[in-house]
Amino acid sequence: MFAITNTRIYTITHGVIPAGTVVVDGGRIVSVAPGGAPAGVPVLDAGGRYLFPGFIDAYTLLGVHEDANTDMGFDADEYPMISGPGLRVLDAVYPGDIAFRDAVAAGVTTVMASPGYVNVVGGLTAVIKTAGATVDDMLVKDKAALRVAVSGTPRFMFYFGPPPVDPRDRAQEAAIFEADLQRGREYLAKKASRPEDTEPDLHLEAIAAVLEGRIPVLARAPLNHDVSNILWLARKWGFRVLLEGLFEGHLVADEIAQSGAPAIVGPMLADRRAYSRYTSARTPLLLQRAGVKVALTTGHPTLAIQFLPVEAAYQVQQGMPEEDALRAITINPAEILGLGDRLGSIDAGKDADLVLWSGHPFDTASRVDVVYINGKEVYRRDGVDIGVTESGGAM
Amino acid sequence: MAWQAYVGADIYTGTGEMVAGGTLLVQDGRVAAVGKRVDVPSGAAIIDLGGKTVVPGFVEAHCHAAVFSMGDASLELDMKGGRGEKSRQGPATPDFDFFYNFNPYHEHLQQALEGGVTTLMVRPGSGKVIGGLELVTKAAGRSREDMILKYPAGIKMAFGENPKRAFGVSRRQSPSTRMGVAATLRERLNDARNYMARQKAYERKLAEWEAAGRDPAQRPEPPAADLAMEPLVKLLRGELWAHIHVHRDDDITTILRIGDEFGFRYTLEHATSSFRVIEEIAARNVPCVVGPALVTRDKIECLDQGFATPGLLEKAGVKIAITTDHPVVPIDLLRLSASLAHREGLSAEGTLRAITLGAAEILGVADRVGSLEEGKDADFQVYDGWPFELRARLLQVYVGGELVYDLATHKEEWELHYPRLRARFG
Repeated sequence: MFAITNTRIYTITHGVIPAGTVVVDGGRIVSVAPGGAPAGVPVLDAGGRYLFPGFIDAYTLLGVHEDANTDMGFDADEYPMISGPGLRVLDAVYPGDIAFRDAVAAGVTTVMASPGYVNVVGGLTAVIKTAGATVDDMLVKDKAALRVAVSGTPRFMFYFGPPPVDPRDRAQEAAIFEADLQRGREYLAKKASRPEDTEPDLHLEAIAAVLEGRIPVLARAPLNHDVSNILWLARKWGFRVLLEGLFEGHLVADEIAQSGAPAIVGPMLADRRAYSRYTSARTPLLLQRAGVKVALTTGHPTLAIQFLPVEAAYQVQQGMPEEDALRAITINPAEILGLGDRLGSIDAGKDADLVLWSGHPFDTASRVDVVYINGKEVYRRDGVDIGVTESGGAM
Repeated sequence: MAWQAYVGADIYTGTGEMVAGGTLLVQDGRVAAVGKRVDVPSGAAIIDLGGKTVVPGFVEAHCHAAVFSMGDASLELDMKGGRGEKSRQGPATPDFDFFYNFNPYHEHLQQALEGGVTTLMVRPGSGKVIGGLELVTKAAGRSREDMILKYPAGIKMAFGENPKRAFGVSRRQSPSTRMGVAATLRERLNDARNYMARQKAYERKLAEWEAAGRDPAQRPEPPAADLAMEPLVKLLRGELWAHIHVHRDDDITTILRIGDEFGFRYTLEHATSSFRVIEEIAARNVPCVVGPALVTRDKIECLDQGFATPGLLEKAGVKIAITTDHPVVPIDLLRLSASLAHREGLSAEGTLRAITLGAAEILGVADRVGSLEEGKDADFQVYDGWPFELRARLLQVYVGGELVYDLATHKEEWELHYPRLRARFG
C-alpha cells in the first residue's frame, strides 16, 4: 500500500482535484480524495505534479508489427488465409517490441492489440497493458473483438509474394465475410440441435461468438461507405460493431449515432488525405457533436503510439473541449472495450494505472515523469527524484 | 504603391528577435519595415492584429510534395525516376530533373499553406545513390515561374538501406551493400573529375591551337559532352550542394570521408543517428535536416529515431532544420514536429529557427524568405499564441503579402461538396 500525495488529480469521471491523494493497494486504487495522505501509509510526495489515468489506445498493432523490424517482426496479417477468424493476436504479440517502451514513456498504459487490415477476417484481438515480461502478464482481456476489414484493401501493396490477389474490392470482401457468417450460423444451429454430432471448429467458434453478441466486430472503416457497409451487415446478421479509422466519419455521423456504434477515430496526424479528399481535421469533434462515443487512436504503426496524447492535443487545437479530448484517450476507449469498470479513470476500485506528468499533457513543455501500471512503477524519466517515504502524516 | 501595416501583434522576426506589440509594414509584397515604432505611410491599409502572434512563413527543407499522387502510376514512376531510357534507370541519375514533375496546382501545396508552410524544397526519393536535381518553391504564387525560388537547388543522394533495397534486394543489381553504395558515389565523382580534366585538357589544347595560328587541319576535337556529368561538375566546383539521405552514424562517417576526399558541399538529410558522431559533423560544419520522427521506426537503420536529435545537434553548434519528409508525415504537421523537438530539448528560439531562417539558409534562399526583414518576401503567419504550444491555432497565412489562408473563411473540401452536412455542422 502507498499513497501519491501533493498532486493535481485529473479523475476524468468527476473533475479535477487541485491538491489530493490517491491511495493504491494490491494493484488497485483504494481511495481518491482531496487533501493529504492518511497516517501510517508510505507516501510519495508528487511535488505538485499532475496525475492522470494511464491513456488507452483502442486500436493498435503494438507488438505484432514490430518497430524497426518490419520484415521478420511483422506478424499482423496472416495474408494467405484471407479469412482467419480463429487467429489470435495474443499468439503474436512480442513484449520486447521497443514500441512498448515508447508507449509507457508517453503514459499509454493499455492498448488493444489487433491484427491488421489486409485480411477480410484478421483474427481475434486482445486488450493488454503496455508493460510486462510475458504477454500473459500483460493481458487484460483476451478475444476482445473480431477484426474484420471489408474496406477495399489494396492487397498487392502489402504482399510481395505470389498471388492470391483476390479479393480486390469491397463486394468480394463482403461476400467472403458473409460466407463466414453463414457457416457460423449453421454451426450454431447444428450445435443447438445435434451437439453430439458437432465437432468443435476454432474458426467458427469465433464467428459464433460474434453472432451471439459475446464479442464485437472491430471493423476497419476508412471511408463513408465502409461505415455504411459494416453497419448494414451488422443489422442484417445481428452483431455489435466497433468502428475504426473513420477518415470520412463526419460524412455519416448521423448514421453512426443512430446505430449506437462507438468510433475509434484516427490517426488524425497521419496522411489522411492519402485515403480521401473529404477528410476533416475535425472528424472526432464532429462525431462527438452528433452523439457518437469517440476514442482517438494512433493506429500504431500508422502513427507511433507515443503520440496518442498529441492526437488529443491536436483535437483541442481543432476546437474540441479539453475534457472531451481527455475522455477520448481514457474513459471512452475503456468503455468501448468493455472495461469501463476497470480502466480509464482515477476511481476507487480501478486498476492503479497512473501517470505523473510534469504539467498538463496538452502543454508542449510537459513531460511524463513516472508511470505506474497495476500499482507498480514501470517508467521513470531520468532525473526525476521523487520517491516513497515511510509514512505520511494526517492532514 | 500598395502598403499594408499589420499592427499590434507580437512579431517573431525569425532572426531571434521578438517585437512585442510591433508593426509589420508591407509594400508590394515585400517587408518594408518591422519594429516597435514604424512610420506608416498615409494611405496604407491598417490591419489590427492586437493580441496575436506573427511569425515568418515556415520553410520545409526536405519533401516530396506536389510531384505525385496516390494512385497515379505515371507520377509514382516520376518520383522514382523510373521512366525513360535505360541510362536513367541505374543507381545514379544526377540529371534526372524534378523540375518537370512539379505541379503548382497540386493539392499538397494547399495542405502546406494550411500548416503555415510557405516555402518547400521538393526533391526526388531516396532509392538511388544519386537521385537527381531538386527545386525550392513557394507554396503559392501567380505562376510556376513566379513560385520557383531556386532551380536547380541541389542534388539528391542517398545512403544506407534504401538504395540497398531498391537495387540489391528488388532488382538484384549493384549496389547491394554499403560498400557498393559508397563505390557508386565515388565512381561517379571520379567520372566527373575525369570529365572536368578532359574538358580542361581540351581548353588548353584549344588555346595552344589558337596561339599557333588556328590551322583548321590541326583543330583539337572537343571531348564528348555528357549531360549526366554536368550537375556533378557543378557540385565539385561548389556551385551546387548535395543533399544526402542518411540515417545511421556509420553511413554518416562514410559520407564525411567521401566529402573529405572529393571536396564538395553537402547536408545530411534525416540524420537520425547524427548525435553519435556529433563532433565529426560539427568540425566540418555540415548542416543536418532532421526528421521525420512522428512515424514509427520502419527500418532497422532508424532505431535511434526520436525528437531529441535536433536539440542535441543544436547544443553542438550544428546548423539544423526540421522536416516532415511529406508525404511521410503530412506537411501541415511541420509546426507540430518542431513543437515536439522543443519538448525534447530544442531551445525555443532554435525551434522557430529550424523551420524558418535556419532552413532557408541551408537551402540557400535566405535572401528571399525565412525571416521578416526589410526587402524580404512578406511571407508570414498569424497565430492566437506562441505557435509551438500544442493548443495554438493558425489563423492566417500570407505569401508575398497576399492572404492565402484564413481560418475564419476556410472550408475543407468535404464542406464545399456536401452543403447538406455543412448546414448541420457549421
